[in-house]
Amino acid sequence: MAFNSYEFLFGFLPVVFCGYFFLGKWSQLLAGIWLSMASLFFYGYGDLRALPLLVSSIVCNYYFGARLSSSAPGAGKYRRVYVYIAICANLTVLGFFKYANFLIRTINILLLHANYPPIDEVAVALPVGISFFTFTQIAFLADCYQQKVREQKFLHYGLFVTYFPHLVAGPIIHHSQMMPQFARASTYRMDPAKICLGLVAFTLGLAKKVILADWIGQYSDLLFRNLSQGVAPTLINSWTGALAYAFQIYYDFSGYSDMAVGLSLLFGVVLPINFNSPYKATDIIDFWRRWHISLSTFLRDYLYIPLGGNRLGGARRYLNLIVTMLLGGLWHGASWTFVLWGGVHGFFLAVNHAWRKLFSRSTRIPSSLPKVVGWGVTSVSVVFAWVLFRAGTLREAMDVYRGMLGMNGIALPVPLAGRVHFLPAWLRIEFIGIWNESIPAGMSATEGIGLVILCTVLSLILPNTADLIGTEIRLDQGNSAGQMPLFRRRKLAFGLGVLFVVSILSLHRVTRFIYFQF
Amino acid sequence: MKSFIRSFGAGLCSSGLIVLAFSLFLYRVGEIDLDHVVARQQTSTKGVLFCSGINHDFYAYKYSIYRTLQPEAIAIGSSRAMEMRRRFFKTSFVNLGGCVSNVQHLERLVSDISVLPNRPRLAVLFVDFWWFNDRISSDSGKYQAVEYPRYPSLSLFGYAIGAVAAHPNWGRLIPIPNDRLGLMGILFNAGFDRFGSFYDISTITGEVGSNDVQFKTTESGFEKGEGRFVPGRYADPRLVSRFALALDRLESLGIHTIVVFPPLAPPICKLVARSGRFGYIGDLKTQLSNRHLSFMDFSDPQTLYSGDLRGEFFDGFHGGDVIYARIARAIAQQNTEFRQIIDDDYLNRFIRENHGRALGSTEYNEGRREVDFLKIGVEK
Repeated sequence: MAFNSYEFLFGFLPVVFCGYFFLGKWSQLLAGIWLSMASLFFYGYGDLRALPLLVSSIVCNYYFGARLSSSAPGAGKYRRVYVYIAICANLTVLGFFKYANFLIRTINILLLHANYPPIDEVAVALPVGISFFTFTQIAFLADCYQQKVREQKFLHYGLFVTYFPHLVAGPIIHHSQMMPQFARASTYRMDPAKICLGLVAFTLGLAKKVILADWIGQYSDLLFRNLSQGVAPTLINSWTGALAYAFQIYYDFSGYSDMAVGLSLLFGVVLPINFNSPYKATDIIDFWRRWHISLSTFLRDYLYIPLGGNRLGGARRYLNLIVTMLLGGLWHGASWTFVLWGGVHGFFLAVNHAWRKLFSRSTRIPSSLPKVVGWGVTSVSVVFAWVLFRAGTLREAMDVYRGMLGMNGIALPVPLAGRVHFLPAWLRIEFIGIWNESIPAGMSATEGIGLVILCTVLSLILPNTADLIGTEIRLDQGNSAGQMPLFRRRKLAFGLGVLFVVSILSLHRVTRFIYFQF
Repeated sequence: MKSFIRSFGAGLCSSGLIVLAFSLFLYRVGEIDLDHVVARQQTSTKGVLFCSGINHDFYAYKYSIYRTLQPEAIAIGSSRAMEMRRRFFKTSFVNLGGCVSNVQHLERLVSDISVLPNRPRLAVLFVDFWWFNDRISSDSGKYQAVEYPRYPSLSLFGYAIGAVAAHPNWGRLIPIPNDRLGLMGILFNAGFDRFGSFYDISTITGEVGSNDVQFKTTESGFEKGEGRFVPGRYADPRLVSRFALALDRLESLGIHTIVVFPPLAPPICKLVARSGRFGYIGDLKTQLSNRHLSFMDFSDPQTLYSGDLRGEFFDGFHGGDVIYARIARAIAQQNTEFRQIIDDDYLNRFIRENHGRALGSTEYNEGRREVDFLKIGVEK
């Protein structure tokens, strides 16, 4: 079930919300069971096949977690064995469902070169959210092994994994953030302040997804659809499509994360903020501190640092960065384009760190570029990398790069013919319309370019969800509802009410979230 | 916090009320819920014309009429089939003009017809030459316009506001008339009757200016070779082959199909013949003959009548219903099955009484006379 569907908004959510707080009045246990069952229903809605996998994964990991954190005499002897078995089992399941066919396709390429017959692919459907719930549980196991955590209540553990706001596409949550909240009695009581903040975050997220991401996404889809039909993209439509994708994935995923944070707040549970205006970043290091923060944190804590982090010298640090990002790329999807995307970002990060180190003591060359230049270089690098992320194959990505570099010429609107004599012939300009005839009814080049400009302005100027509710969200730190500055902004509240209605009006074409495929 | 919640609620309710009012208006004018539109047209005691101002992909609408009436005869084609009238026939008839603008669309329609249990006995398929031009992509019509909306949505509101704002005479929407449906139906006084035929009242009465005065727009299109008028030497044999397969499929479904090339206006016909840049038209006819596919070629309107026919056209490539009455009579002379279902007496009277006009008198004219809207100096 998707957050941006009528059945979720007007069926599932109100029922679960009312049931949760009604039961919460009488019993935390019943409310917890209700929320767990609702989460399983949410996950299995429309396709029950993956539900047994999720349930068995929870049961097995809870069992191993209990063994790993056991303080019984003699238990320590086998802890290392247990942790290896548990993590290998998780990775095997993930590998089978997500990477088996990728491996077979790769082997088949080699077999083809050696004139051997190819191996048949495995008929397996990728369970939604498998990467998210597997990584969440691996982190739990690692921390149990290090005796940082000990969970005794199966219900709380089950809820921690299945909790529907984060189950399918994150944020990747840490048990230390969640378990104490599920254990707290106040979580099961209705808190108007949290509900208000939840509505704010949810409305912003819904608007990002259904208004901006789905709208601008048509233009990146158009570019890649035309590519698959053999149309070579020219300069302007390549850049429009690539930039459109950069904004589509940002508003799609950050919209989802905001909705998850908002929904969770409705149920009294605080989830971590996942995005912090990544397109305002002035270098790649900064970008990764702002983009998919929960994944970056996970990769840092459970991969980069165990690999040695920056403790083993400069060269090893850069290698660790690249390896971490390569695996981060592979986590996103079973394709070489994702691996390359991760590798490219790892390389960017290594260059960024090296630059900082190299010029940190130089008086002539600054260790960081002027902000505007830094922002420009970072943005172009990120957009170039997104092409790899979006492309189905390397060839498709190369076709887009050729277009972006002007190697397929420039197509301009027909009315400009005869008005731009001054442009040199080597630009290979044709006056055939920016998208020629390959643009569907209801779309236009002007709209595409206008949307890219609009999204650029919005992502640079407007405050993000973290800015709006980030400080308010720390409700446990003594803020009372009346003191929250956000609640004094009545015009904003009115605007959000209007935005909610406008977003509901945009639900007629329910599109999947991009991160559902991971 | 209470004031925050109140303001949020105020925003929600005020915008919700606006949306509700606008949705009710769009429902009333027939822009939401296609089934409701078709039902209103079919059950109305007086003729109701419908034309959406939002969706110009007529497939869903026409197919819905077809499914409702399950006729014995149908007309298939692009907008160049829309003037074939129910009154020409003694039997039940639905005009599916506008559903098929290339071979791919034809395949889709044939497939959709095949799934319904009751099929027509006879189909008149009006074919446009340019469907087969090998210089035009075979998938050129693949992108559909926006889907016919079932629920109010942001884009629907945007299109509706755009459609109303673009028309100076939006006062016609107040009060909403009972005999017109769809924003274009009301604003332009034009639309489809309950059998799918198209009536453009505002153009023929001079209320709205023609966009093809003296056929200049069509002439220019052919001369520049733009859009559907792209010149070409050959017809794409793959498309001819797919077309032949679609015809076979229709015959195998028990639908006797008559293939017709509808006429171009006389000056345009001469222009095409003179230019020599449209060799694919001749090539198409040759390829069809080689495959033993019979067709009736009325592309030159003088084959229908030797006198001046310019006044019987809406524009350079759309004949009016008097031309289509002539086509029906000509088909009946060559095809016995067609002759059995045609109302000969009505056709003869209709042509005699309306000779020289683009639109024969109907209940939709509301007593207004046709004018020389193409400004070609003909008596109407």
